[in-house]
Amino acid sequence: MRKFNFFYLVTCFLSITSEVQAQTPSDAVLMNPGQFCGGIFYNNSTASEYWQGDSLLANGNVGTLTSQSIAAGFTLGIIKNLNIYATLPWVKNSPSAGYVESESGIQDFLFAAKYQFLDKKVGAGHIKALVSATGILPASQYIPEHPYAIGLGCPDGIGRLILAYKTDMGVYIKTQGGYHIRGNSELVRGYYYTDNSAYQSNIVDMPNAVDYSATVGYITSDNLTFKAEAEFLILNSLGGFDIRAWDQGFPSNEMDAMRIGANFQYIPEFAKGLGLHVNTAYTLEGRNVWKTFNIGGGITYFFNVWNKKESTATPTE
Amino acid sequence: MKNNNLILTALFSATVLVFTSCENDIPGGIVYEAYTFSSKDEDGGNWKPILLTSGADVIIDAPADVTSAEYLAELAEVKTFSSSLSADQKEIVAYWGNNTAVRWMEIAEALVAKYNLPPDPGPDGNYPPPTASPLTSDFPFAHPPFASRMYAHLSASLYDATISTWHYKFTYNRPALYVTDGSITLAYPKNDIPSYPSEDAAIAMSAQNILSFLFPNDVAFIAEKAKECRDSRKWAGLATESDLVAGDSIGNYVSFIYIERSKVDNAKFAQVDKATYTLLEDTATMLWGDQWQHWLNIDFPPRPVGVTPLFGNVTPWWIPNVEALRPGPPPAIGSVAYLEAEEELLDLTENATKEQEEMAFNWGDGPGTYTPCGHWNLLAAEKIVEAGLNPLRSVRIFAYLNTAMGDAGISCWDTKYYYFYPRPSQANPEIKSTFMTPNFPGYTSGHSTFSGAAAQVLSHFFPSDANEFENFAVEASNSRIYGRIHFRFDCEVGLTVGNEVGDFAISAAMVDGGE
Repeated sequence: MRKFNFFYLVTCFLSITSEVQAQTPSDAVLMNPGQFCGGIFYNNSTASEYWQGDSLLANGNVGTLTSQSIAAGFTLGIIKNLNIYATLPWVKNSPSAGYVESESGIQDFLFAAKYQFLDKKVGAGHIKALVSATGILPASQYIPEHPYAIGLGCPDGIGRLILAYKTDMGVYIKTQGGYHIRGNSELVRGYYYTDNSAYQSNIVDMPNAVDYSATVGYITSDNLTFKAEAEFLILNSLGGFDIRAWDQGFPSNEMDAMRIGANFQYIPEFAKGLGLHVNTAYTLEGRNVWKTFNIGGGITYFFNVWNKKESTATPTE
Repeated sequence: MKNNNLILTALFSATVLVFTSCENDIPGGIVYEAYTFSSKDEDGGNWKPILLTSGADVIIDAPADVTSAEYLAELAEVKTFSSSLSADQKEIVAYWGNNTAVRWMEIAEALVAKYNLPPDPGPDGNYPPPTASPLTSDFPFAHPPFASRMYAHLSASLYDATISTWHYKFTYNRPALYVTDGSITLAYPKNDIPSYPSEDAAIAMSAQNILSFLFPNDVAFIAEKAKECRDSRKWAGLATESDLVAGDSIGNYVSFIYIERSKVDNAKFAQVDKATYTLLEDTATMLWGDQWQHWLNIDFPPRPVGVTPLFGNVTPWWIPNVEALRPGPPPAIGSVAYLEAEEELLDLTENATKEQEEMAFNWGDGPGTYTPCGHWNLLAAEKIVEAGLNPLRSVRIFAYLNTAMGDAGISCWDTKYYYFYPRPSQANPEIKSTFMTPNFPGYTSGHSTFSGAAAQVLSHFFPSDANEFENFAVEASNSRIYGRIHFRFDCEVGLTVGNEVGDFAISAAMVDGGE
């Protein structure tokens, strides 16, 4: 027997989704100084079931929830081994059933810096180690308690360590982990009940979180033309409570997810500077999150802003 | 390598910077410092209680003399406690403050928020009637009418109990502890009010009994709170054991009267089974079928019966009967008045402003919250401590506020199921709302009726804040339009009827001796 909640979970971890790009604070790829890569990304995520605690449920008042986002972003090589990133997504969440309005708006601004502090030849390849710091801030006054809220409404600071080994043949493995320290979420209303207590405030203490992933991939020898990788990702809230039966999801719920995904990149020779990207992911297991399937793609364009003497724009991988 | 370290440090610092802004201490209730009372109300023991005939109904014996060995031993106990408080005890003393009724109302609000969720579905996968056996862990379903009735019984009992303590305080005149013994450490500002019997004990005992009766799954939690409240009186240097014991007797007596009333106020018949419900729907079709299709739950799957269709039969506190307040019928579907209201909601579906959406959520007070009545209690509590009211005057306001909202609930529910008027998204599926529609008919709006009554009563007690309360009531009422779960006429008529209900409570307050 299925339980049908009248309410449902806010779409969560979209900020993670927006990191899925050609080059992100969580991968091991770097741009050279002066190289700029700007892009537009589209992501479509659908789910018709979600976990309330550890029970997987459908919700007849929602049907299938579709979350679409369009993000603009860029990567810039500042000095050797140091890149910065920024993205800003617009998100729309719409149900296929029920009579509750969909919700859309500008979501969270992401800014990050990534630094490679180790690049060492080991055997027939290179071992690389990088760190990154990411700051995420809600970029509009969206309503975090909306049934189809576009985000959690809180700032998030992420520290990340990335380790990769790439063989000279182009096969690579990568593992990375991030620790999220979250600021408070700000509700519209001034009273809420969660975690067995009532709070007379619009401020919600958000649990911190971790994410970690392992990736296997292949990239062509020019470090550029084609890249394909498969990824296994885990997201874990470090605290928070389960959605109560018949209650609406709440920003500070414990939200966990285990996902698999794949990313592809193709930079055709005939269109200099242009890059095409496709990514997909599927949620295998979760807690208080939607069981999402997402597919996204993007177009990037890169060129040298300075250091134009370097004849080709070749990211060091 | 030096460069390396520098950049690593910078990245680390940037991350830490974002992190450190996260420290916070989120309050569970209103924040106030214990204060000096703005009045003593020596004659308060003669005020007219709501269910008791007078404050002298409970017989409380004269206390031992302040020079007796017995009393001196009690004082010594208080002195031992109050001079050596642990950090935890100090926190508890500060939390309860010198107006414990404020905290009891908050505890009641939290219990409502905890239980304001529909029960589990039956074995057929469909929703059962929104009641449950007291044996289930989700009992009771503390929906808005349940909550309004609970707040009314609780606060009125606190008023009657406090009147009774005032009666004996100024009959026996046992001085405050710090007056008898200057070496007592009083945790709060001095308020020269006789200590026997303790109003806080009477309030705690009455609250404990009533809340335990209505929330049988939380008896242990409620008892723990009551013990904490009671103990904190000694820790604060405010009451001795005999003050508390006499207060307990009053609380026990008064809560018994209120619990007995609650057993026979017809609330237990308010929720009906599917067969009875179908009869009510058929009656609505017979009466109004040519003007509107009766309200249907449009959730997936639909809930088979609405929330408490016969709540209009519950015994009111002040209004003579529900018929006297029942408004005329809402506009027929397709009429000019209807089309105008429908057009407004269609427009809001497309073009609601940020401010309008926020108002819908700010006053949403839906499932999993303390309901609109809880929201008004919170607003009242802030005014009460701001005005420095003593416990007697505080519970008087809570009592009239909540009995008025209790009557508002009764009157509104009568109207809702008399007309069985559809919700906007049923009448026109093009209308989308900001959240789920409550499981009861639209006309009139519960939020508006509760808020109309609340604003009227609070404006009477705080005339200089009348505009503010009126604005809040209009906001609460409009929020249902902005949320598109009510037509404007649902809200406007509800607000007007709410005001009328409030006037009945005010009429009673005018002659209770406390004006």
